[in-house]
Amino acid sequence: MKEDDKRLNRRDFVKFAGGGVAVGAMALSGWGITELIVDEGPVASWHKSVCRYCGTGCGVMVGKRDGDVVRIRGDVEAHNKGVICIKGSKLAELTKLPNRLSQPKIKKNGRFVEVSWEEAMQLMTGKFQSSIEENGPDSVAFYGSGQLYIEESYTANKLFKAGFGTNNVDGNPRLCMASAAVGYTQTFGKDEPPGAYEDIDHADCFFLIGSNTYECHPPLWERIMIRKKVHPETKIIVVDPRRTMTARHADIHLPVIPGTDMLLLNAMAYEFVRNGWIDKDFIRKHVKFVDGKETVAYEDFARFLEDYAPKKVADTLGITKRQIEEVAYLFANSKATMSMWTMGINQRSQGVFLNNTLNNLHLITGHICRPGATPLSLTGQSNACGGVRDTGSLSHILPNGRLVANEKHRREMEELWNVPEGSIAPNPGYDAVNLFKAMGDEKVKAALIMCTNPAQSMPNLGEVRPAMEKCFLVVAEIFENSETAQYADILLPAALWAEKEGVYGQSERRYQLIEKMIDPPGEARSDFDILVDFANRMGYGDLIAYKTPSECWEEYRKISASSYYNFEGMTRERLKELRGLQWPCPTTDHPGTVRRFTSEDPFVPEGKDVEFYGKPDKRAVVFLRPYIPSNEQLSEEAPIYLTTGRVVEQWHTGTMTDKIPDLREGSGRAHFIMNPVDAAMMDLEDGDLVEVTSQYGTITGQLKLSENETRGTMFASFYDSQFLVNLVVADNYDPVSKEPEYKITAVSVKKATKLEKL
Amino acid sequence: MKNFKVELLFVALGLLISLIFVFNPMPFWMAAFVFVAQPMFLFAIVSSLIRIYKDLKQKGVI
Amino acid sequence: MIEETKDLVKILTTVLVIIDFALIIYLIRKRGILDSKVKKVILFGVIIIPFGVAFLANYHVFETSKTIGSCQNCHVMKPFTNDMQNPASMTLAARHYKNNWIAKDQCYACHADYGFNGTLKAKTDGYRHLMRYITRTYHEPIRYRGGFNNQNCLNCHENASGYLAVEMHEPLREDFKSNETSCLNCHGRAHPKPSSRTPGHEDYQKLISEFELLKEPKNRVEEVADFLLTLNDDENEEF
Repeated sequence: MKEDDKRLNRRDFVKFAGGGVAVGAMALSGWGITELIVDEGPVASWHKSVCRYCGTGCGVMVGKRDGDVVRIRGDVEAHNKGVICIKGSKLAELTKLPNRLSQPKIKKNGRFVEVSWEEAMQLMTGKFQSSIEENGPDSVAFYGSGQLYIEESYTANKLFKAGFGTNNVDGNPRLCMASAAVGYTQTFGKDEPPGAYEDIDHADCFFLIGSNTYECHPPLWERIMIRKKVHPETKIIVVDPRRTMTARHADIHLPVIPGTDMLLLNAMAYEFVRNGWIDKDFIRKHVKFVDGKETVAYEDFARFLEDYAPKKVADTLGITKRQIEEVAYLFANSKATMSMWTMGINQRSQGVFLNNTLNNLHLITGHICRPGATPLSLTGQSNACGGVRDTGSLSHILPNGRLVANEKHRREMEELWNVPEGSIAPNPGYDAVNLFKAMGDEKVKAALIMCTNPAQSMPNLGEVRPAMEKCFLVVAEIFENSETAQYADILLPAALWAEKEGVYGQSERRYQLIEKMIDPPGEARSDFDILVDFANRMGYGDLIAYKTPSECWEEYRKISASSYYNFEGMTRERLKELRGLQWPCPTTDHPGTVRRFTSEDPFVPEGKDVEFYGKPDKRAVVFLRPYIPSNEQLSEEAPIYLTTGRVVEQWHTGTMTDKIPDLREGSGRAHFIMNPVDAAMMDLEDGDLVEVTSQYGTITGQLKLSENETRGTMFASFYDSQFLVNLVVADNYDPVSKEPEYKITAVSVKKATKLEKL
Repeated sequence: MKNFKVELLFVALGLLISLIFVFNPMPFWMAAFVFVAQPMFLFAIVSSLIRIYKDLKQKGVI
Repeated sequence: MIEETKDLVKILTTVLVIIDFALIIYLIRKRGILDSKVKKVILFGVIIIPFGVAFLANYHVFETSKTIGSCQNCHVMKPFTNDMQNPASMTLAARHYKNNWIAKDQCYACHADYGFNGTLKAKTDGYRHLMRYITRTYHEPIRYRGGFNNQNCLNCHENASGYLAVEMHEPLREDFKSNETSCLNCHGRAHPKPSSRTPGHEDYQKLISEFELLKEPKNRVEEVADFLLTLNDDENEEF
């Protein structure tokens, strides 16, 4: 017994070993429990994709379980660094929206009846064939969208232009990006911006004009604010007639009177010249001055600007001379200034001139082709750049920066598409506004509308909607109750977003692949499949020989190699693996080009820092663009400007977002907003039902008052199908870009007694 | 039956690990405390209680 | 304050351990005897004091793991803490740090669910990370299992004026609580992206190299929530 106690005996050893095992087991099981308790949450697998909605083109991560989309997160590896917005956050609900159109329908005696794909496609083919035979190819048209995938727009464009022989291919990017596209092309010789979103991380001065970035491109706004939080000395200048959420967060807000901002831009240029805030070296090497017709001298430019001295224009602008001088100083003297703009500049009858002039400001101060210094036009739609501008799917252009009117360009495309010389008609087709007018005049008798809602989004709807009645319309849609679907003769159920595969190209020349990850409802098909089927039925199976988006991409990728857009290096495999690539990207080992026209651009000769190779003489153009007042002027009858735009929760005509409960609740119903002083002078109160009338039409709606609206301007958003504000909106358009002037309509407002049913 | 050697050894080791951790809260010692020292205490406590319980029962106290 | 508590824990633990070792020595001497005195000593030496030490050490686990320094002790956390303290970094963590939106224990402030008042799952996750780390059973880039809990953000922001000023937050209140929509969706990447945190990436070496801690942040604000409440709309980061 004693011995037993002195040292570890066998029993002790067994006990010690047992204890050791018990402790070890507890340690391991403790760890095991932690591994068991902490689960992966509701998501079984994550997949990269791109947001469905706006032109920011945010990378998103799609969380799936049992075939359903259950979570959406920003993709931290993508260009947007994980930031998306509320609309993107609700993408999971988009995939589950009830009552999707799932079967083709034909309108018989004013009512839609379900038919087979065969019957619908036969009817469609018959109508298009007979229209072309009887009235020529220009009697048919395609009205597409900056939301179709690149392969889809490319196919439609090729089929109509090289197959049918009509350039009647246009789409909603005409309504939002045409002025920017023409502006870049005129200034730099090539469309698409020189800079990129990454410049936001380097800019010391942001010049936001005609852009409510906070609501319309929230992730980019967040990026601007991030820049400011890290570098508080960063200045944000916002030019907007309204005190938008963007303006409320700015260092300087210039609430100019709608339609006058050309005066501001030229006045800023005047200040640059007067104070010597110009980059003479840059101008000498890379810039020339053109008065619209011919090259002029710098002195001519300086003389031209004399009419725009701040003291001369301040009153018309509705701001002070000092404000102009201050903004000019900040713009020119920051280390790097970045301009961004959207529809406030593009949707204007001087849209192209405004774009030219914004580019001017950067060219003469040398705030370009450096990190943080660039003019960047923000895109409205997810694929307006890649899908429509780059594929040339507008009535006046051909793929990769070519022009319909240019014979050499037509020959190049005919060769690349392997069609006989002369297949592509030399006359540009109808632009959006004139396309619908041509439907009204019964010049266009059959049209295919895809992925867009013109019966809500076109200006002067009072004229557009009856015109749509007169045309045989085939509409590929996701819902039967959209405004445009009502005018369809054939409704084709379309696949949406991740129900199909294709490439999206956003504002900064970045192409990103969206892979198919869920099935479309019922018999719905991708727009791509519809177009390929249509091409084959129309007898163009040889022209549209590919059958899948991948095969189409292969063709287009190779075609791009014969242009400055060259993205031959963007193979499908690379796009599957990477978070997009920015063109030019000529080879499969090329990393893509963040800043165009700089030494990283494969088209800039070695040893040169900057070259504007889009122009024959390698010089970007500073245009002398005068201010021309809008047709819409205030009068006693129409004493206030109506301007339209988006709200953060809704996207475009609300076809998708307005069906998502949280977004619908967030935005509320569309209404008019006006400054309380204006309202008081018109004897109106908050919550009143008002009738708003322009020379185009009248609508009634609810009025809300807000001091964030500046006097003389009222605002309404266009997402609500029960509030068709575009009935009132003017359809004046830019003479060059043909983009309508949505932003400026002179209206009268009076109290209404009852809500007119639309 | 009246031998608490193993329990005392475990308690001593556990205390040592805890003491080292408190003065040197590095990951290794934190894990050693959470996943080794604590189970040691638990083993010692449970084992001692069992033995005291058995002892009391043997003596007819309970 | 915390330093004092930590010192108290150290003193108390040391005292208890010394007492317990004395008791252990006593018990070794009394081996073979199990009288009521021995039983009492056992009660203290084997049960009560170890229990007390375990309590103190557990408290110490939670207290010490609040500091940035403690997070940095695991070298796998270096990319996170280095980035946070880098004044040029644009991550959400770095902006909170640089702008002194959080006065102290900046890691813990946003990962409070690991702490004493946090959820069981989060605490368990902390222990899981610990075991993975010391057993080297992890791969870089490390990633969150499940998702980041919005409650960590809401703790400070929920009633801040900047948060309330954003009308869109309102319909999403439930979504935020259930983590269906992440705050990070709109407010961005909190830390360097996973690819940068992967060995072999060009950023990796920079992220793990020794980083000189910033001096005391200026304008130190002691109470985060109070500070956030004083922010007006224009100064707030939210949109």
